[in-house]
Amino acid sequence: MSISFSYRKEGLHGNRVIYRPKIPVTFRKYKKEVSLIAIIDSGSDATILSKEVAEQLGLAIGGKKGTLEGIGGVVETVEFPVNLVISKKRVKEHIPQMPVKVLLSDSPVEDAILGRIPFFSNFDITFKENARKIVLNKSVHGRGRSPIEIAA
Amino acid sequence: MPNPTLDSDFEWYTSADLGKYIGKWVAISNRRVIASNQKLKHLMENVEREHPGIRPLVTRVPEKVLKAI
Repeated sequence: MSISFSYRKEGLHGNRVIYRPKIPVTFRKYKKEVSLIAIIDSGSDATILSKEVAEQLGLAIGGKKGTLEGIGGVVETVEFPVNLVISKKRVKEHIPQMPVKVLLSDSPVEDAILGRIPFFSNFDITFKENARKIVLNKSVHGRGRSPIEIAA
Repeated sequence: MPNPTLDSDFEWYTSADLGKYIGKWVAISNRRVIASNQKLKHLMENVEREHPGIRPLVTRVPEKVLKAI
């Protein structure tokens, strides 16, 4: 069953607006949860949370350390598993123990980015740019196909 | 516990003018902003204190710029 969301209209300088593919999601860790707006980003290899959101979920520093490289340069990260829930009306999709990378920098561009690993592995995602809608269908392949493979 | 107003709050959010909150976190419940703060931690503390039992939809209102993430 599919879930669709309208793009979010946001202001730009010069009396212009832009429509962005943002959706409501709930992150849960143990008994803590935060429902927030996340952007769906097919250009991001990883699913990312800001340090502020991670702290709200009680994620202590001490996860698996790593780095991410973006337009702003290289940033340090720590990885934690969290539970993700996406729902609309009676449709509810859970992604349990989804690994997210927490940015250790203090000024992220976005506080929650749903990137390819592992978010896109769970859904078939359609960006309806002209209708300004995003449609998520739970993938029949589940989490079986990672975008990362060992080179032959 | 699920947030019973999440769908409605997101629908409202998609076209809401949040220009006066740029750079701040906002908490949305029942199609309105019920709290705002520079820090998410303080926002959630405010919501717990002023609106006990409410599980808001939260977001940081971005600057009016084009982004390359």
